[in-house]
Amino acid sequence: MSSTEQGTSSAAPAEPTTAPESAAAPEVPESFYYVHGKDKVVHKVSAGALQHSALIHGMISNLGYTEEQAKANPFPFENIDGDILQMVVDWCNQHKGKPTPPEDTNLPKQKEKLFDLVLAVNYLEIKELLTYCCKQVAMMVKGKSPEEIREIWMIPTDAEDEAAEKEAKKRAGKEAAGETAAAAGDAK
Amino acid sequence: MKFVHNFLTWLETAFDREYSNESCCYKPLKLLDLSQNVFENILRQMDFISVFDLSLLSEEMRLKIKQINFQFDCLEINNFGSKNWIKFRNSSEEVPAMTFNFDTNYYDWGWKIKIGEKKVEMRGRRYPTNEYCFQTKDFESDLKNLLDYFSSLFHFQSGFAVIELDSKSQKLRELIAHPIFNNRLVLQLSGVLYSYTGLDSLIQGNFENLEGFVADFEFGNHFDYKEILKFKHCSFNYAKSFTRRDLLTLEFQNLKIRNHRLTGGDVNSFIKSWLAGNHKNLEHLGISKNFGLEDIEDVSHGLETVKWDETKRDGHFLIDSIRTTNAIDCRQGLDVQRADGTIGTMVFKNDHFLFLVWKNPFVGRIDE
Repeated sequence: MSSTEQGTSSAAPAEPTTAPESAAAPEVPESFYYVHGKDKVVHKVSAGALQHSALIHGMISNLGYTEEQAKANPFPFENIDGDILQMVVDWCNQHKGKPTPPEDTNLPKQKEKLFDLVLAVNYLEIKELLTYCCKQVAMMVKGKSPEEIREIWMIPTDAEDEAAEKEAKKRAGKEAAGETAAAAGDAK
Repeated sequence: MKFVHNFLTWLETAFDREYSNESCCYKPLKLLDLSQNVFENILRQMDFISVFDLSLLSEEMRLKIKQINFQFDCLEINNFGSKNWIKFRNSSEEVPAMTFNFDTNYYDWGWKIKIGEKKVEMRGRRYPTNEYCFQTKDFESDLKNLLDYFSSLFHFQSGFAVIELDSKSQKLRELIAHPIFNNRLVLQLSGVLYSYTGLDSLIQGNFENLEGFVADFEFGNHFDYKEILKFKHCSFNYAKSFTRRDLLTLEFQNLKIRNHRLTGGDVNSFIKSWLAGNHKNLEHLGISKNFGLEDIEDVSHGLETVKWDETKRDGHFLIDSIRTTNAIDCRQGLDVQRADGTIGTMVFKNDHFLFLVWKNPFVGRIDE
């Protein structure tokens, strides 16, 4: 991907677009920001592409960073896997400045990553991409029986929920008893 | 029967195979661990039948589904004849959002699902049409349980129920005040009326909570229309004994009449009576042209009518009935105006005549 820089961020300035002579106002050069995920690989993304993310857009809107400052201060998203962040950046670049179509054919194809992608996209508040991803999740159970849905989405039965709740209470009780005993020991 | 079963099983297997190839690649996800907004986003993009399937899986799932607040325009119940059904209807969609079919036929296959406190024998579901099929020996005995379950999960604006005139459907009569109907139930009584001793003998329930009444039976001569017409919506499907005198003297808000003996002259007199300041509550009168009203040209005889003036009223009249919402095109209608300024519009359709009263000329809306 052209806008992604691996490891070091050699921030090349945005290539100025050659404006036609007839154009009245000169075009403002596009500003870029830098993000990285858990793997610390830095991705260079234009402000236009980042507008899809309400979270990042809110963060950068009042920063007024220069290119050097942006490069020196990449946004860290330690809770997002590097490959997932790459997918998100790709999608944002592909849809930069464009209205999102009702059916998106540019959705990430790696289905095994779908759930991590949903979590990341929800965190980054990318509304349209979240809707597309949720549709993919919804399609997983199309035509399935209730028990098959239970298996696919790991939905515990009421009995399992009750057992888990009992277990949690038991554990909490033990921990509380341990703390009381420790406190009593300290007092002695 | 076995062949049909085998064929259906084969179909289901083939259908599943198509999707199992896709779902095998997914990393497992605990749906309940997702935040409520993501959970809702997913459920709102699922077939509604799968949402209902999900509700059967656990208490926690039901709580999360309830938080989404799925809304439907109308809950329809048919408890007349051998086939019973319940429909979740949305007027904005052409197909019903969800249908539950019930019959007494015996099938040697099926499985039990727990709905509320009871286990119900299910025979299958049809995904493209969002239909569940149940086998039940006594639809009525399951009804309260089903309504309790549905109302614990979903919200309905109103209700429409078809029941039998005779002693059957007694349980549904007892459920008229069920919160699922939101105090907006229209009850249709179908069958043959042998004797009439008052509204209580027909409904045998808490009819104070009813919003409307559809009489789908032939009236006797001693039928007390006054008692019935106090409901906001009334519809008489067989009204041969409904006379000109009834039309002129009784008060009603929204009335539809079919299979009657009223003439164009009778309706003309009614409109004159309205112009004179009577029928103050009137919002809508609909009269069919089948088996009556043949001399429709007499309706406007002697009335000062004007064509539609867009500065005076809307072109369409929104009829918000319990089951559907229709915008009646009134641009070709003929208007009359009362001394107090209220406009009434006569609309001549192929098979019926409408007289619509514009309470607010630029919010074209009445309840049918």
